[in-house]
Amino acid sequence: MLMKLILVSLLLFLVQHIIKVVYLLGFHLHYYQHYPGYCEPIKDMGPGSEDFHTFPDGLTFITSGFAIQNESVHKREYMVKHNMLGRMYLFDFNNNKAKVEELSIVGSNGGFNVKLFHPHGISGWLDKSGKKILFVVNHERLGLDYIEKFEFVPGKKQLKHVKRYRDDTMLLINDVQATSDDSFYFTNFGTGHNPEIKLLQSLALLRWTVVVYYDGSNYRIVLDGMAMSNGIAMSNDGRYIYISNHDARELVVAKREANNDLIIKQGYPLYTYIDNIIVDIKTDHLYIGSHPIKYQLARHLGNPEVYRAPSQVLKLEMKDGNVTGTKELFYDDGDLISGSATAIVFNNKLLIGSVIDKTVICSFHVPA
Amino acid sequence: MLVKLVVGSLFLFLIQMVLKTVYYMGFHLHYNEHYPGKCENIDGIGIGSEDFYTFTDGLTFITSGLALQNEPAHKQEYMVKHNIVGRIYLFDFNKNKAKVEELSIVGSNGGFNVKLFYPHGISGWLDESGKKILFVVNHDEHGVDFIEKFEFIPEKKQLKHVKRYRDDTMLLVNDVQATSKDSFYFTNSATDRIQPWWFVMFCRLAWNTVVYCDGSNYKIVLDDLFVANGIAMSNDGRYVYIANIMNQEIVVAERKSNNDLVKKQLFPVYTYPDNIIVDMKTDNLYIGAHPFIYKINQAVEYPDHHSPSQVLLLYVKDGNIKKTRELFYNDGDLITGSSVAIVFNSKLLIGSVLHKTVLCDVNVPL
Repeated sequence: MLMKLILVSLLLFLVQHIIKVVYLLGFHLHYYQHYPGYCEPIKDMGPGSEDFHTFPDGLTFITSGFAIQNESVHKREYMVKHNMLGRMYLFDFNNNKAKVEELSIVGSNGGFNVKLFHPHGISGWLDKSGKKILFVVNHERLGLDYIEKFEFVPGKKQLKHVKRYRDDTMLLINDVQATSDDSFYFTNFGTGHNPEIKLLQSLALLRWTVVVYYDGSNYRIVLDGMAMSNGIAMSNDGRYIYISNHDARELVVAKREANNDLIIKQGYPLYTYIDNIIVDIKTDHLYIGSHPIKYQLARHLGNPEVYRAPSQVLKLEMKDGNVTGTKELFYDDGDLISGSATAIVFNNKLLIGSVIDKTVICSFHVPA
Repeated sequence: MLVKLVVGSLFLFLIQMVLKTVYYMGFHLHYNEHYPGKCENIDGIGIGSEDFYTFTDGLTFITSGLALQNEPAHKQEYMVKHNIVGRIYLFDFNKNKAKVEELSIVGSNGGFNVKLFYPHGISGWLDESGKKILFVVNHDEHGVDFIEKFEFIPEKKQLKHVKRYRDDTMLLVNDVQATSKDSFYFTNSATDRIQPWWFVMFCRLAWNTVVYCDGSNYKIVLDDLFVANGIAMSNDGRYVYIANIMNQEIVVAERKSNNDLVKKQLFPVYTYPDNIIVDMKTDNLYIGAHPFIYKINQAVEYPDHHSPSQVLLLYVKDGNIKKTRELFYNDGDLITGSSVAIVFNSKLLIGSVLHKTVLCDVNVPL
């Protein structure tokens, strides 16, 4: 009798869990396309523009060629077919052109090897002399995850590698947010490099990912229990840290304490799978690249040659660390751009990067 | 044993009906706002602009003050309080202003009484002399539905009532589509005035009709529609589009030489489409839609409730709807219950069932 009860309860628990997961995969969702102006893809770029950082002068540094250490067969074929290597591109909002320049990457501090470089999240910082510093997440091929620091050398269109950061808290890094020229937060979007384990953790709806802070000497976990921490960004005044809790479909707003600890202030549901966050340099509003339909994203990332995934850009209005309104700036079914991960509106243009697909620039003619 | 089986089956059947209804209510859905440009409210219009018709010269005739016969008491109080009577407004796209003029309505053919006039769907026609003719669905306060024909007298800003149409096929008329100056199609959105909307939705009763009047005789040309709402015709007269609202689809029908309709395409829109306007140049369709059926029904009964507004553009080629674009989405605070829309001269005009009327710049490519 007790056995029967236990078995039936387990079965019911399993059934409700399966229903929940199927629902979250979003087979039942339908959205409409719309654009804020005329949109075109940027030519002559390798696949992917997963993250970028725009400095106040309009120079934008884009990471391309995203791959983690254990990719699927289809993804690896795709990478070979499209000559997909880890690259960094420079986009200038002041040139009115849908073009980028590839930056050369030099240096080998701490064993950095540009041939094994697969960049992911990126964060920029202006040091005291006005030099542009970039922190970039690197899923080193056949190796571990690192955060690499580069200096931009404008005259040579070059990124000079200056320092490499490594710690055991770097499990499967997604994004980084600089807080000075030698300190940063970063997010882990998994607990390791094994994709099957990561998939199981996702399906089980576990909340095991963490956000870590590096203060220049030590690393410590500042936020735990995240379903899947993805993009991370900081308000212009440094008071708030925004994290996209991707699998929970919510934006987490955290207050930054004096010792850099994070206290969650708001978990704002967005009903879409949000990726990277960029804070508007002037208004403090957030631009978010997101993936509205989970099963389509998963399909696309596993087999990008065959499957498209919808792209969505949201703008969140912020006041004192609270979300006061949302607007959808862009929605495409995946034909123009699949898997939008990052976006910014600058100089009346909307730049959108994708995980492993194209990069798009739109003229921006709608109320923002 | 057999009884157990029968009861069990009936029970399961009922459960799946309930689940289906809850699903279609859309409680689990979330959408984000966006606009094609700057939007503003139109001044000087009473409550509601359920349908409108735009002639090729940009003159637009808007029906306002929708009410069915036998509205519930609180709705009637609301109407008295806000002075909601049936009106028709004129909007001119050529004047670049967010303003309308109320038209005076004269005439009493066949017992037409402007004091009992509650307009709903509208369709325009240009007769041989270039005079503007309007067919308007009227829920005459005293009893039954009529389709009224008016002539527009431009100098007097007046609509002169010229003919009234009535037939037993007019059950609960929603919209009308003219095919000449004395013939038209119209849609029925219910078979009576008693069934509550949630009952119709739960039972999924698809027994509404589209009727054709050739000037004297009426015939049913389409049946089994799950609440027929807006109706429109392609510029060449070959296709008729019907918003089969409760089935969340647009029916594209081919028009036969005897005016019969044959279904050609059923296009799912995953929202509740209201009125359809055909673009004069491109033949594409503009649709005012309600994303959440329970919200719009609530807003119609209690007009201070909000319901989101959504405008879709459907691209049509040879009578096939090929793809879609969403032109406008608002949670309901700017405009509640968008029922009709058109883009003309790079401006988007949106009407609502019982709320405001909005004009937006269209700064995006269509």
